[in-house]
Amino acid sequence: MRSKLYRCLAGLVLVLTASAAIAQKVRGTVTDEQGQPFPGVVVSVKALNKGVATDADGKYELALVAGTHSIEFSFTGYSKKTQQVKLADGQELVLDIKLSPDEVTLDNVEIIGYGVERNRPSTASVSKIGGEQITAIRTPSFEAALQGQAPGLQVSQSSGLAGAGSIIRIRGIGSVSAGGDPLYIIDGIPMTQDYFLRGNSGAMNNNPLASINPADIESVEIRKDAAAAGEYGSRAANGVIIITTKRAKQKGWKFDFGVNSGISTPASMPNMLNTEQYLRLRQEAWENDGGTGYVWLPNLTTAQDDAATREAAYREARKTDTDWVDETIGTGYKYGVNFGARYGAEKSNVYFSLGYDQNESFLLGNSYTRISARVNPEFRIGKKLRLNLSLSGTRGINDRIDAAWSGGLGDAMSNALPYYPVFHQDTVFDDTGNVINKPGDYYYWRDEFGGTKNPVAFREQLKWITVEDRLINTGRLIYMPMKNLFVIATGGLDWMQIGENRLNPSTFDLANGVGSYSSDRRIVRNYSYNVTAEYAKELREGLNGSLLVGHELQTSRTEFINDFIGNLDDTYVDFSDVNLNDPNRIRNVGNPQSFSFLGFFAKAKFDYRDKYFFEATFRRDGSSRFGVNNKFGNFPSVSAGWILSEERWLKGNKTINFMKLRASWGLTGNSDIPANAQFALYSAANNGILYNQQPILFPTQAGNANLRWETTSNFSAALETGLWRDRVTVTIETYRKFSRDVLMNVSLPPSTGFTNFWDNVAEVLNQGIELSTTVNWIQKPDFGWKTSANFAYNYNELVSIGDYTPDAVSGGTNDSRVIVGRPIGSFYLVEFSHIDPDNGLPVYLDLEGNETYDYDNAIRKYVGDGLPNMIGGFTNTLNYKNFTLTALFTYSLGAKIFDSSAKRQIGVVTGWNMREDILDRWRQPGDEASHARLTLDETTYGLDRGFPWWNTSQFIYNADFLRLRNLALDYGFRKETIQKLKLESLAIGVNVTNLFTLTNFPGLDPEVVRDFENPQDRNLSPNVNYLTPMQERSFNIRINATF
Amino acid sequence: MKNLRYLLLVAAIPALVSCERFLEYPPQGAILAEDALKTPDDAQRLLNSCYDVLANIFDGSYQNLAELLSDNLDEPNGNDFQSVYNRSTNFFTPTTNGVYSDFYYAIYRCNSLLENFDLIEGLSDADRDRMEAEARFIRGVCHWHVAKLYAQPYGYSATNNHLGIVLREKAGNEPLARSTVEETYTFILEDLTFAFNNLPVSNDAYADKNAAAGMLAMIYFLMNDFNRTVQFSDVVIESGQYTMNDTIDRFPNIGTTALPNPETVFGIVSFANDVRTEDLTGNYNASGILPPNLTLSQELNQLFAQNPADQRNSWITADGTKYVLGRYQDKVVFNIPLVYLTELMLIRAEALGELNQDLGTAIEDINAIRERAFGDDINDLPSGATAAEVIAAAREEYRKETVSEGKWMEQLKRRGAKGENIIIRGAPWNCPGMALQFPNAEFTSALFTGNPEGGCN
Repeated sequence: MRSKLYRCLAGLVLVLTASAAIAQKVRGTVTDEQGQPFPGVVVSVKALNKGVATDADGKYELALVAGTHSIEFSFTGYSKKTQQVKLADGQELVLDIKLSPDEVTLDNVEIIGYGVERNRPSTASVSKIGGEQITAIRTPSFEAALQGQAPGLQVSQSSGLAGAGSIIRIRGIGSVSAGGDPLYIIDGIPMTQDYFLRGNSGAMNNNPLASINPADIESVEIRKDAAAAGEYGSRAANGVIIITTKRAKQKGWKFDFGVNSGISTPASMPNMLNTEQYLRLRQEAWENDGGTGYVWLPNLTTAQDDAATREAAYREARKTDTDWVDETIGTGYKYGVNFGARYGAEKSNVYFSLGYDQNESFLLGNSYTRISARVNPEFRIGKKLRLNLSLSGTRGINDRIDAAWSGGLGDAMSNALPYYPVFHQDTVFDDTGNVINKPGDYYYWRDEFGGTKNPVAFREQLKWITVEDRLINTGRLIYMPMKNLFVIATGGLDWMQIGENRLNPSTFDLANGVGSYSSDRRIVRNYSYNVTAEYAKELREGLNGSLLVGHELQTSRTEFINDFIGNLDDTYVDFSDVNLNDPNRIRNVGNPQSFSFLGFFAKAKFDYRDKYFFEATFRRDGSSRFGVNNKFGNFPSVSAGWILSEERWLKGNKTINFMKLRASWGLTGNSDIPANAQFALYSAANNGILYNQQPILFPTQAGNANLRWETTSNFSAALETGLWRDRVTVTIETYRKFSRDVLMNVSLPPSTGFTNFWDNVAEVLNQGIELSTTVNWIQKPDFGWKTSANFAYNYNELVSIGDYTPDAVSGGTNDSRVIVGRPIGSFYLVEFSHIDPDNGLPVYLDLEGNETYDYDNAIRKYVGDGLPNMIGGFTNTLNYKNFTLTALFTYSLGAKIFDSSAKRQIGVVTGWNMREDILDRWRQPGDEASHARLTLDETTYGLDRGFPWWNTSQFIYNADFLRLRNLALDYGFRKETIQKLKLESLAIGVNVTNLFTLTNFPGLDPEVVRDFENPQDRNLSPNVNYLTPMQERSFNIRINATF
Repeated sequence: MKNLRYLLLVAAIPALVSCERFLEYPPQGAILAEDALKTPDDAQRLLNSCYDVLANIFDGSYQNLAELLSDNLDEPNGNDFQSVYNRSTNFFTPTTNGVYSDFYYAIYRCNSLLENFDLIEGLSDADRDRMEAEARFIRGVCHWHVAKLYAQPYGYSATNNHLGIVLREKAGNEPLARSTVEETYTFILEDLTFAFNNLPVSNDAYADKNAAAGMLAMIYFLMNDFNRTVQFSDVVIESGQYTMNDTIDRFPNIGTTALPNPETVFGIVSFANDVRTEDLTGNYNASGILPPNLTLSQELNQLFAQNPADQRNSWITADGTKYVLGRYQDKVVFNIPLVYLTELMLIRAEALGELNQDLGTAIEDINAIRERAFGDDINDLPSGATAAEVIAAAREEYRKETVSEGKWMEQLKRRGAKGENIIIRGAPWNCPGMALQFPNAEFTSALFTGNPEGGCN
């Protein structure tokens, strides 16, 4: 066995050695349509990640290894040319190329957004990320792979839960209660992107992006400014992300096959106390409080028990030491297979793919499996018509576990005390001598809310699965009645059904011993279509213009169906035991939620001599979500660009080969609020609520007939430069986004009879600067080193909240509030000063900054916020022969994190286990300790009795971090090597995600996406941790072949 | 110009669609407010919903909070209950926030009805008068109970100019400041007096004239206005419509005793398919592994245990160091009287004692209750009992009879306000925490002033 392995390794070394070869060259001259030398043309071999630019004389020289290569010549505004060359050892080949200005035809037309992509420089701020960059990082969901890839794009990674979603923010956050996520467009239609279809079920929000197979993605465009996002008008205030799926582009057949495998481990570990530590600290707290004898122990004794009983329990407790964290986490295994086929013929082509992805997390019992299929055919119908279809079906199966506040690892970090055993060790009798528990039965305890707990028992016995079925189908008719005129009609249906089935076995119900089954289904039908006509014309020599008009409709309906069967006995242990037509089944059908959207738009574009560019867009959008008088809003935008490097005084400059200035302004909007927020509503309680057996009718919602769009005035300006033939590129961009009429779901005084209502209240400012650069340090035939880096600074300020107080809007169960002059989602807590060395008590600061021992909610104040000032990433790519080493670092500076569960884990000694941090506590006068003297009595810290929730700034930490997000080593086999296998390409790669993180944050992870209650919570509570699972560190290997 | 035709054609497509209609998506499964109140049935249903909220509040939710502030209970289980028991609620305490909000749900519904009678076609004058009186009855009852929990009592300050509660006379979203307790009681009395004057003599399970009279008697009693206490108690007791229950069980299981409590003037009704007692049955439930969330104080247990012949001792069982109240144990469906004969007899007796008038009637009432409890007349008050003896006996019986009903707290506060030195579990009756804190959201308006917290330990 061992000798076989050695032989394999020796073979691999031989293959790798054979890959090394002496240098060969391709050189030549590139000319334009008039035969003039063409400087600045990018000459590249994509497979090798190599490229150079032509010099002032249009000349280039590219050193390559021997073999067959595909060399691409590109320049914006010109048709790309690709040439296959075969280089023998030591050969020097001359290849001259002539480029012509691009001309869009029915065959090569690309539609991105609403319009025809003309491959000309534009006025917009767009970051485009290729599919290969997304699949290079194995993440729970594709959007996490966007992190660090584009300036101003903040991606907060999801927790380690399988299938969990990230938070994406583009240039800060301008919304308070309305959804703050960017608009997602897939193949031309807006996706259903509701993160709260299942609310906050088991401490996890639904991730509407998890069902997209990353292997199907051709590209992702991030549209940031008014010029880029403005054409989406009323929905673009938080940016737009456009996902384009793959299509066949070549003639004949081509196949892609990829397999990957990996393991998931926690990126960090909680440091919970063991039994000895916990008991010792609890005893210390008891004695600090004046207690004598042994301390009482949760679930074993009470403070009222006599000393002998307490001592016996204490001694018994010492016999058990369960590491509950270890009981809930392990190693997750991942594997995936993707098969893609492309076929191109004269009048049709098709891209077809099948994908299977099994993604276990490190949380035991938790996995997300995606099975996906896609067919993207294109048909040429006659001479003037083309039909593109994108048909996809996905099933996402999430094997669920409890997390965070709901249980699982959350229990292990809170109520699971180390002296609780997993199983009963001895027989337990009741007062009358009956056997209650036998050895080997699960040991259950009660948490402070009376809930039955044991994360192992729940994981092993609870049947809980969420299945998402999704069909995203779009069709696009492109009609070209004449040259340069395109009429494009795009329509789609995004159909989605999420079903969550849960079987609680009878063993969980200690009081009555009955189980229950529930099935909750949400069905979303999201129809949309848009139709545009675009005509481009050369108006006079050098002056090109185009005009696009269009309109768009969208309607979406969500249905809710819940089935419940109660009183199940102990024979119900799996889903197969449940009769779905059980006569005791109770079915509740919720009120469907529907909304519609309507938009009309026009866009004019001009460019003059490829130097000056101007665009103007006007949209008039209507939404059913707004009041009668405010259904429509107007959203104009204008933008301009100037390519300075085309001016005579700069053209041919040896240093600056490209320079562009661009600026844009526009209004964008946000309407992402609940469908019926505007209405004052009554309910007739048709679900059978009666009083005195008589029907009732009652108001359910305060309406606001004046609800209108949240509107953002978005100004942006940028300078793009290419230096030394694009060896160095730098883009610097600045923006100012001012949002008015920002929608707030305002908390009403309960004495009004309602809890909240929607109103246009706030004003929010985001302004910042972004920098991105690419440096090709070394461009040798066998060795290359490239660095891409981006940096973004954002200033966020809540400018106004009308006459309301900070408590008018809060972030779910978190302690973030709206504070004028501070960022959205600022932490509003009692300020902690220090631990008094004399007595070990926590000292707070009141509103005037005076020290006090009294914890009082009236002295809450701004103590930090979770929005970073600076974010970014940098990627270093090293090529050596056929090896590529890529290291992606991401960083975040200036944000704080509120470690909300730390207030219990390193606060009052309660029925929660604690973190080892608490060992640094005050013990005697003079101690300079990080933590207060231990106590079982919350009033010691000035808290109200019965309220150990200690919301102070002591648990606000600096969340700065630098993380090696991805480290990858790839090897591309030489064609000669793989020709025998009839392969076109073969690549093998290994990567590790989240290998290390540099941070001062003492908790689990400085980057956190917790479970949220609603979009408002998602906006207001970034960087709040509450027993949130840590992120995963995954080790992966992948092999991709094309043939 | 052919190209222009295409552009115009696309631009014209929207004209084929009626834009406004496309954007009209009336909510499904819900009723627009403007369509909700059209018929007399609609109005009756809205009124029914006010009772529905009352049933949610008085399923034990209100009673438990009030009882926790008294000295009847031992330290409870559960964070919120502990906060109330320790008189340390703050504006984040969910349970106290929930009860507060529920009262104002009912008030909003009543106000919505009161303001919209004109929209209802075909409503008879008689029905309108009845509904108006019922709505004002509920509005008054809700405001009164909010005041009892969330403000210091009537008599806390000499002129009652201390802060009371937010008074909602209209349905609206605007934040309001708290009124004084004097204004609060004036408002409540206006509503209840209107109700008394306009409610029908009988009204099924809903509020009638006697219900309003009983409420007025109880309100005046808390104001230490003994003459009016007697006056309105008399209305009910002397009406002859109610008879004392034969047994000590105020909450007979419907279905086993067949008849609801004949003492009931007004209360919350339950049915097998609509049980409204869960906060009582759940929190006093002794059948679980752990003791109930709410158990009796040792001192109250001793009061019961003083006389073993007292049948009401059967309500209490010891579970370790806890004294479990079994009044609701094994009950499935039962009603919760809110205005009933026993209480009215006892407050009338105490009021007569305070007035030193008609002590014979007072003694007779107290003895009727004692004879029911003891099964004989051995423990009767002598006919020559003094006013002070009458008062003491009335209070003892009141405390025993109303245990768990959330009424003892308000009597302790009333007596404190009257000048007695009332200490409740080591703290004076008027310490700040005896008034629960208001919900956080009430503070979203700068007009609002909360209660001082703590100060009772």
